[in-house]
Amino acid sequence: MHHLKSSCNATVVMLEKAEKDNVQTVWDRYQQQLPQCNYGLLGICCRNCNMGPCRIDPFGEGPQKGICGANADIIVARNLLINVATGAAAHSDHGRDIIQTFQIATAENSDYKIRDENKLRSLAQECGIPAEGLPIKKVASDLASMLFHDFGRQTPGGFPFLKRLPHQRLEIWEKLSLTPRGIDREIVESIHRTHIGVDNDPASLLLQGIRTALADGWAGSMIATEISDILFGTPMPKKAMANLGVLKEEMVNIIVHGHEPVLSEMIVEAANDKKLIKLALSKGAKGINVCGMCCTGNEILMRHGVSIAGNFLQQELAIITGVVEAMVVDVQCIFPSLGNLAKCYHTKFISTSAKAHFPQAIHIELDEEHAYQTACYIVESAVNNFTNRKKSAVFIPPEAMEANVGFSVEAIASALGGSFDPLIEVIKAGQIRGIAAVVGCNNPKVKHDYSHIQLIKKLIKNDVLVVTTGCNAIACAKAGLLSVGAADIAGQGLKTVCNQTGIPPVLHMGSCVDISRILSVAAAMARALDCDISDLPLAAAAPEWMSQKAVSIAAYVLGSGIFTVLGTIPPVLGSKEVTTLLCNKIEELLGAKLAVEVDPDISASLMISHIENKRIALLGETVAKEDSECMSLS
Amino acid sequence: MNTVIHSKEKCLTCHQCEMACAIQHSLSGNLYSAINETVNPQSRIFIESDLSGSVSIPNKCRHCDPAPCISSCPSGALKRAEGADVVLSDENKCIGCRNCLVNCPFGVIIFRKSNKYKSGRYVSIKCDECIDRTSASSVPACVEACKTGALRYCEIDSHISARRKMSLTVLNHLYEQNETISDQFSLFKDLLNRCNSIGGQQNY
Repeated sequence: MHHLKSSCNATVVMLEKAEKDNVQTVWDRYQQQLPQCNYGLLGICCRNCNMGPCRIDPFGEGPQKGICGANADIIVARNLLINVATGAAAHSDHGRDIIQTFQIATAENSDYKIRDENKLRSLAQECGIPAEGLPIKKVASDLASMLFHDFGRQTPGGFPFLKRLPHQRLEIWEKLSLTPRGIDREIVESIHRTHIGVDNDPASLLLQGIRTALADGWAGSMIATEISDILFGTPMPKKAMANLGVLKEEMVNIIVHGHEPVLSEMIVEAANDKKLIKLALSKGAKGINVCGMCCTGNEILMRHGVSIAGNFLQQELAIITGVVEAMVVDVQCIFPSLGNLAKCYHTKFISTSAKAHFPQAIHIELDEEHAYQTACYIVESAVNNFTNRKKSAVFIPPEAMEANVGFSVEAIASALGGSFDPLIEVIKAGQIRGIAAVVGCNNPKVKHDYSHIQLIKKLIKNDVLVVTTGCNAIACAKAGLLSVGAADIAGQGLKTVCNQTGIPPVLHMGSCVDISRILSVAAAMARALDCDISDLPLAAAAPEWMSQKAVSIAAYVLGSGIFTVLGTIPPVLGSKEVTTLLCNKIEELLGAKLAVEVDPDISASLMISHIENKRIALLGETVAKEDSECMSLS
Repeated sequence: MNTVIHSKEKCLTCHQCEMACAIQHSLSGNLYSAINETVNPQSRIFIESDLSGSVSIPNKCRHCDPAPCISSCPSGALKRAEGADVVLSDENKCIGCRNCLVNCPFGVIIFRKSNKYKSGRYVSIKCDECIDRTSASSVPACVEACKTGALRYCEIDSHISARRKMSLTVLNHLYEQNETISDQFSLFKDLLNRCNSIGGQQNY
């Protein structure tokens, strides 16, 4: 029965162990919630003010307005805006933490170093900060100050990275008042607008959502990505292993989970500490094995090839293997069930962020001024835990797949010979039809990893190059789609390009904030072709999304002009107006729209036919390439 | 024989049973499609509550025997199902005389346009104890939707022993005046009642 829950065999096998160990997983809790509240599913429940809670009867007989007078359209739009703001806040706060770390790195004797000086200088130059012949720490300090200002900007157009965009896109934003002002300001205003009796027009609420998300994608997240590259190194192609089989019975296993490399980088460093390795050996272990999960796992995977144990829905399963001495977490996507679960095994569940406390966690706050010391303390406590393992509770599924990772923008350009021109040429020639960005979380509402993999397999079969991030990227890694050999199941055109350049048909571009890398590539391509991003043969998809960050991402990808397909149903169908706006009318304004499609096969067809239509319009092709598996273009 | 019984103490007035019933008896059987159907999906279960919500009772057909609705039906539309203790309404045979509506002591037979038979006539629509689901060993939709156990589907003796267990708590409380026996929910309802009595909740 567990095979119905996941297409990842390691997951299925661990669910059997969970059942045997009599421990609860996310799937069990999901079952208990069924059937879920229909008002909630439709988005027509409002709990904003204390006159409520209010609900709208979708069948038209009961109340059609909340107590304040808001109808279903207003309630749905308001709820969506809150989700965008929450997601944008998560990404942007991550960006803020990275800049604070960056500032600490400019001090004397900091544990954090500046690893990519070249990127620092070129980024500084891009932002108009003098870098020629100046000491690196001065440049860093000036850049940090400037980017910090992005958080507090009050007027539009100040974000330095907006200069990457084609003028056509900036003009659309200007016309619609979508040019973002400040990162924090947009979020505050969004929350303000959802206060009772403020913004009560669905279109107005949604546009503010787009603007807020743009301040995330083109500032908050982009800052996180670029400065993380400067601090920790710009990812370059490398091989790494993925899935639960990366845990090793003979080693001290430490899982880093959450999002900010500020923590995971230090844990990786501390695990290489000679004293700690010696301690581990003295406990009978063969060494210390750090593995990542979720986005912080992606960060250290991309930069250092550190193994990744799994994606979002597998976080409990890692503990259930019985070989994890410590699971060390910071922020975002971390189940509050982990503390209790860890107590069923010998695992220490350690929280490290002042912002993120969890039940039954051991809280060891990461002090950035003494980061290495804290990290060593955490690693030491994991090593000391090695002898507490219960042998009878140990089971590691064998699955561990080799994957090619590390495709930053710089890495892809380098693999193509120094610029993106060769890629643009093969797209023009039609060998590669277009590019699809397939990203996002897992969700127990759909079969784990199934939609991710099915969608991507169909895209590459149709000569669409895929770029991936986040939990989708991890799913691809586990399924072997990040190997060069995966080109064998790609279409002829894509296969040829892969074989010539040595790149896989699916490129892992990093963590969720690294979707900003994809934005930068799209913008650069648009400028090279002197068109808008919405004219490019591009499409995006989040086949198994669940988080509020995903809502913000969908909003900024949409706002940037890219057609996006969602694979789990958002809580908007209770409002015909909002649904029509997002899936139809918004295309007139932004050149892009959303589609909601649960079947990955149909989603792929929607994306492929969208790409083909863009090719016809942009490149003057007279007839779209037909694929027998595609639905007819309409 | 299994049957649906409600516990008014556990009803939270969330209306999920009404939604689930309407969706179950819609043409598509799916939430997202049901909201777009031309003939509005109808619930056959009704939450009766006072305006403060301190009393909240799921009200549905009891499938009485003898059923006043069957006795009064001239067209034979209302019948007891073969091999199941369920009173069914044949929307096609119903002539709309409304005798059943008048005779039902619980008021749970409604008159709406049928979505099955597009005659445009108003016919009697009532709870069928989800006979399609129960014959396939599933529970009625309202019971599945109820997260507090206010609606349960099981043997009637099981219902009776459940109520006796509840009465033990009450009886014990009366005998021992033990304040630590806190039914948190009944405390909440008590609070609502007090709010109501001192004018804390305006009911129009």
